[in-house]
Amino acid sequence: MKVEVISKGLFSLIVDEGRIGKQRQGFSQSGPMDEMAYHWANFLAHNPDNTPCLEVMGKMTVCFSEPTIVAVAGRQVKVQVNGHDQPSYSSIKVNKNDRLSFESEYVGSKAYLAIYGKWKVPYQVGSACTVVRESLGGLHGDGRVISDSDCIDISRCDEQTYEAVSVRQLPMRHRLSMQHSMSKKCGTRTACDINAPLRVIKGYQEAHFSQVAKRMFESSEYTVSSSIDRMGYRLTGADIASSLSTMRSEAIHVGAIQVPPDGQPIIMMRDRQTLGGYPKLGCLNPLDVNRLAQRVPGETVSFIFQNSEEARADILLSRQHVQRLRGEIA
Amino acid sequence: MQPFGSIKQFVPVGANAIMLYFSGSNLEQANAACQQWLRVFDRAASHSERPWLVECVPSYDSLLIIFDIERVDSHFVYNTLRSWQNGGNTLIGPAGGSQEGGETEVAAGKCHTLPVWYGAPDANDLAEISKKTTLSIEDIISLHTSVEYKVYAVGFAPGFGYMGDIPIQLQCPRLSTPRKKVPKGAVAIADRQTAVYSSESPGGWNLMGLCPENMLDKDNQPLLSAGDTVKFVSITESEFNAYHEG
Repeated sequence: MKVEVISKGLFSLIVDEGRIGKQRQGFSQSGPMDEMAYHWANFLAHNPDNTPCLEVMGKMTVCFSEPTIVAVAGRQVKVQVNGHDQPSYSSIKVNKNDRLSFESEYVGSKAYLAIYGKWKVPYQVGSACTVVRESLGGLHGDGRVISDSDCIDISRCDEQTYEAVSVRQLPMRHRLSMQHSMSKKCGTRTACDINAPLRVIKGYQEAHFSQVAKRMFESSEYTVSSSIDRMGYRLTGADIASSLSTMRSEAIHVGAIQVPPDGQPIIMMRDRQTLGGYPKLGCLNPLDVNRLAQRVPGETVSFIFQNSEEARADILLSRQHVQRLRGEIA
Repeated sequence: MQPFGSIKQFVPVGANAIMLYFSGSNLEQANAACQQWLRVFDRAASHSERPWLVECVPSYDSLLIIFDIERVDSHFVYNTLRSWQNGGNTLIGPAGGSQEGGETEVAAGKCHTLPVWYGAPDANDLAEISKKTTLSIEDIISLHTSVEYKVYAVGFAPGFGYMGDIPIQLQCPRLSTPRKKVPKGAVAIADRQTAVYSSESPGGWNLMGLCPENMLDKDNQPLLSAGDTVKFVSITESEFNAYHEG
């Protein structure tokens, strides 16, 4: 089956879970910016985990050469088939020659399109994920992002499957509230919404940041700048420079809060370089990397410190919750 | 978490990772200790049926350990390392002992000889380097080719090997403004380090010439690994061109 890209949107690329175990060779981890939305999209389209998806900014329109099952997930995503509204976070059965359009209400947020079946796309260094900077992945295996009139080849959905599979739908209240929290500020709720403070576990060169800097970091609001991409999100706000001037390059974990000499934090995201020499205050709770990924320039974010036990509890709780929901929905 | 053996510090990194920093009387020793522990982890990963180890990312004197948070926590990782050390793991060396002056077992890395067309027009800051170091261009080239370098780490970009140390006379600071484009194969120096750019990328190092060898093969396997040694040899323009034709 062919999926033709009629309109690519602003910036769209093929992602899967990314490259694991290759950072020591210098390859970016890569993977979806919002893992949670990516996983839901695949699950709702009846795909196994780690199936490629399209990560899309802006409005994308695609056309299908055969009937199949799709799902779109993301932040406030509007979905239409042939001009008629369809639910997001739901299996959608599309017909031959149907046109599917979707976009997030927030320009810069990511929407994920999962399409049922086996994607016949190049795999390099263990993944189909596109990394432009490394010339890896994409339809041609050279790191090119999706362009208009690209055709994606996906195994067809046989009639029996098409008729037999259930329509899976994730209830509204669970869509952007998958992030359970044990932290004090979120403690009264069972879940954090997109505006809740981002949870930070102190670490790395934390000792080289003054108490004042750490308090400023936790008590002030930061604005998402326009310098945000798959490598990192640059924030503007209170200056929290550390006392360290030089250090040896070391591994940068996902969600690391890197603070260059100008004192403005950069949150390191999926396509970050593997090693770097700027001081780091700590790391976001991995769940909150997904939430930050959906924020757009001009929005504000705030932070709250939590210890690693709380973070672990949050993560285990969230995974349990996802498993339970998957069981209920299937 | 108390340090032990060649590990001088355990530092938390987020919910699902910890960083180990290594000691040694110099960088080369600390880097060797890092390589040693990396091999211990790799062996553990290949032996264990349900690995809690997700990924290790080594650098100069540090090793990031990413673990599966559903199975274990950082305390489990710490205690496991301790038990490996105390259990007399043959890869680690004497239990609790300092590595300084001791014989640490280091697996031999590969030795590479990399040809360089020094002064290739696409990658030529030799005049700048000459100004910064007050050395003649001939001396710069003969110094750069005089030493066998160690690959301390691979990172920044796929296949990019951080090598050192270059002779102290060659030490020179990075460019004040990084270039937007450094060509693939550019051989460069900065501070006490040298490297070959594995692909076209931005960069702030001082360029000396071009290396015709690919740092990544067709299957994206890097030529260099941490622990390898590299010697540069000077080639002429026509030898460089012949390299591509051959």
